[in-house]
Amino acid sequence: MESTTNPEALQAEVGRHVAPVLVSVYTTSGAYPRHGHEKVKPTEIVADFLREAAKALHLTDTSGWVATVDGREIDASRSFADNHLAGMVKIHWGPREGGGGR
Amino acid sequence: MHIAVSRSLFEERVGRFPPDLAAVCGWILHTVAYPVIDCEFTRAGRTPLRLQLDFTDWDEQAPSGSLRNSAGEVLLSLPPNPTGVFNPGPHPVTGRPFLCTAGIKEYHIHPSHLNEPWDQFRGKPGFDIGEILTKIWRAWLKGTA
Repeated sequence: MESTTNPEALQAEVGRHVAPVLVSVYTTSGAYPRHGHEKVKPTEIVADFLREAAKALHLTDTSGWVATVDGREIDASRSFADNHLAGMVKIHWGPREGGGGR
Repeated sequence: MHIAVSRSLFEERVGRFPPDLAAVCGWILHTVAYPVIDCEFTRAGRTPLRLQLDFTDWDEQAPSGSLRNSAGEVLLSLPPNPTGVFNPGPHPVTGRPFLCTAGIKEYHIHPSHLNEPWDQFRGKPGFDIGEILTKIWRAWLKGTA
């Protein structure tokens, strides 16, 4: 194998060899995919996957929603790998709690 | 609101809950049948909390919420929670702890919030059945007891 020091090329090389993340998204308006999971690259940005879910589930307003995995809030602007998500991942996606008196 | 319309709205929304949703969230859904959702929140190391929402007259009226223990007994006191959603009360109408958050009947009929009637929230993002339930669950997750 050729070696490279180019970070983008390295990232692409890693992406070709690491195991995909098996992802499903759960909302109270449905699950995406409806059954099972989607295979995504660990380098995929979580928000991009959530956008696909929103479209499939016909969610019109997800502003202020938060994604959690096992109760832990994840950073949707970053990749699955950046969020230390691997293997089978079930994301719960929904509105953030309101404050008291609101 | 006519009961058939209310029931239809309720059943359409809860019919969208994915079958695995409860398992993913750590919920035990004791009852999901018009007009009641009886949902127990569970999490390792936490005392479960059972939330009963009564959707009579949905969505003309916000659901009435009551907080219970695992056995279904109404709670007369609450564990601390940093969000303020779980108000120890007593509520001036019910005399019990209550959910102090928009989307719950006891909030809108509380003297402190009479200027925020349910009509201001009804039909808006964040105030459908699943979203109300989710927001209360997330508030519960912020607690530690």
